[in-house]
Amino acid sequence: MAAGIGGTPAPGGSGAGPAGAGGAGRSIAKKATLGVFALAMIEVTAVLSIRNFPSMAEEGWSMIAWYLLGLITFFLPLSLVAGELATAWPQGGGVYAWVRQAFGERSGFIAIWSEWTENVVWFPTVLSFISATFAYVLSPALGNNSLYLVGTMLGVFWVVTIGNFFGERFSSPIATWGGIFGAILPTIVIIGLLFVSIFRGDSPAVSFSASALVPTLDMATLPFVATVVLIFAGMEMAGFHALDTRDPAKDFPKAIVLSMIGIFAMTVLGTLAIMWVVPAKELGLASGVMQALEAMLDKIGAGWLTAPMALLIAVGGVAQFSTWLIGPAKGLGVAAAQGDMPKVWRSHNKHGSPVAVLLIQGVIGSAFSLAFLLPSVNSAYWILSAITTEVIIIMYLFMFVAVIKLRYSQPDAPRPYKVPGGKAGVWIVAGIALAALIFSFVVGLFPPNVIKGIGPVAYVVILLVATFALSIGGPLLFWMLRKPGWVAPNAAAYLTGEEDAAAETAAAPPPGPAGEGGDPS
Amino acid sequence: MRRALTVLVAAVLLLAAAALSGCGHAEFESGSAPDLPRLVAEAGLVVLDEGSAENRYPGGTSGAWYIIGHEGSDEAEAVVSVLRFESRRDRDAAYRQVMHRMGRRLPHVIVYTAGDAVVQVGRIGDFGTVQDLNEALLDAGAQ
Repeated sequence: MAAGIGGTPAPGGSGAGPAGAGGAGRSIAKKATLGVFALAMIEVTAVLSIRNFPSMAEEGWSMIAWYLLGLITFFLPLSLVAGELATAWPQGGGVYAWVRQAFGERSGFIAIWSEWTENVVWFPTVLSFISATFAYVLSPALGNNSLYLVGTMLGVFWVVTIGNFFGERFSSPIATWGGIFGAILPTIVIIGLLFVSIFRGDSPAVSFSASALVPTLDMATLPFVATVVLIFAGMEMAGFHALDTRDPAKDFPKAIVLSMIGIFAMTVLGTLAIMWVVPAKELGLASGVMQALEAMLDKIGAGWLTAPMALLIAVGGVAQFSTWLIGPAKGLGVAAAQGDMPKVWRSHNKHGSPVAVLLIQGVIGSAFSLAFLLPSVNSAYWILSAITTEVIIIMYLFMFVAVIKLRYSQPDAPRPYKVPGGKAGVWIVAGIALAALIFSFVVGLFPPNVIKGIGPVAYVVILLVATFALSIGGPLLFWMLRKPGWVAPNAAAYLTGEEDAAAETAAAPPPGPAGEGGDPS
Repeated sequence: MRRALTVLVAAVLLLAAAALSGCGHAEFESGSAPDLPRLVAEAGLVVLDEGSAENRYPGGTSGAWYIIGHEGSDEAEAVVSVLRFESRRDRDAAYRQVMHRMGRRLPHVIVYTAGDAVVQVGRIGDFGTVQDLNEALLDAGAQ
């Protein structure tokens, strides 16, 4: 399965990633290849999502305020906190390593497990989106064909999975070029069409007034806050590539600022373009990105652009899928090497790719992707989707609490970039995000009206139990079965990427029960 | 672990067979979509405005929107979109696209399938209105 199993010692050389299981003698030193632009593109690819534009455009001019709310309550705090954690602890595992620093092994594992679990359930929706969007290149009706759907979804899944076996040599160009051609370029085209419409003298589909900028905030619209918060999820993604970054202390802050400004500007302008051209009432009937885009292009007389834009957006979908596929998998692979999971999970190949995790998530994700297409399990899938959205919120809660804790537990740790304002600043920044996330979590528990035979209280209880079972149950099960042999001989090297650490760890006795090892390397 | 992987792979193959066996290809057994204006009236609500637009989803036959409110008030409490389709396969494909049109969490909408239609209740201004409409839709067979 993986080159790392068995740990065949290899001569030192660049290009080798963290050694495979048992690979104490393998070179850990690897050539760091990622700079500011590559990191920024990972963030852009992970976060910028054109498919959010039509739904947000339905909100009219108030979408600007909604986006600003998302920026202030989550996107900005997440960017600042990711900047501090990624530069202070530029370790393999990203979120896992940061939470581990603050609260120890168990919490780190729960955090990365939560993100990974959410991902695996989320994959089918992205794959289905890619598949349905790509159909517009050939024939839109193809998107309703089971054979085509199954073929493209599984094909993309496994091509991207196998591609990621080659580590950064695959994932970095995919993020960079996929981000440029699949996210930035189509967004620029959409924004360009806005100017075409303006220069043609078209009046906006939604008339402007100062009052239209202000969203209605009441009990009925508050749940929308929960939607807006998670629009910008993913800024932690570059942290998973810390060991591949040339100069994390300098590159991470620049990349985060660059990508944050770019993502926000493109998101607002792209949404504005659709809102300007397509009336909101029609958007309700064309809320999918391709339907909205087709309506927009037809109105401007550029219907011929539909197929090329579909191709670009599908490419962007593949790049986004790849970014989310490898990031959390890397984190889980590092956690497995620390002994949180059985040996097989920690297998890495010579490219530093967590092949075992990729294969396992490939098989599970494939099963979900196929089940997703069965109408009879559609409702169950959406409940599962609701649960996993709650689960990823748990990961973010850990991350924001960790940045506060670390200011107290490790006040002198070098922080090349810090959330401004000292301890008060970090409390305010993380506090705002925590409040937004807790609100989002609670809103996520509200029962949808369409579930028959389940009362609201029962629904909330089921969702809560399932959420905690999924986020904590998995890790708990692994700890109950835990064996000392699960710890990789070079466990620390997976975090630091240094050969010395590998040697030290190999010489040291295995750590005690999980959760007590609060001393991360 | 290898055994577990083998079982998982077998499960994937079975699911693939099920997914490819033509699920969702059937034409509608229960006829067309519920008559929305009638349902709105049954729920004690009124249609304040309505219109139509092209249904751009593959297999779509028509698209209509209704602004719903209370009798005697001009205030919109919800916007209901009704997308109708040629076949159940087309409807189910559109339902998936409507449901996963956003990155992670849906905006504030409720999406149903009813007969040959995908019905979406959005821009919700009043929970009571939506509850009344929800009951009427479920009674009419929406899921």
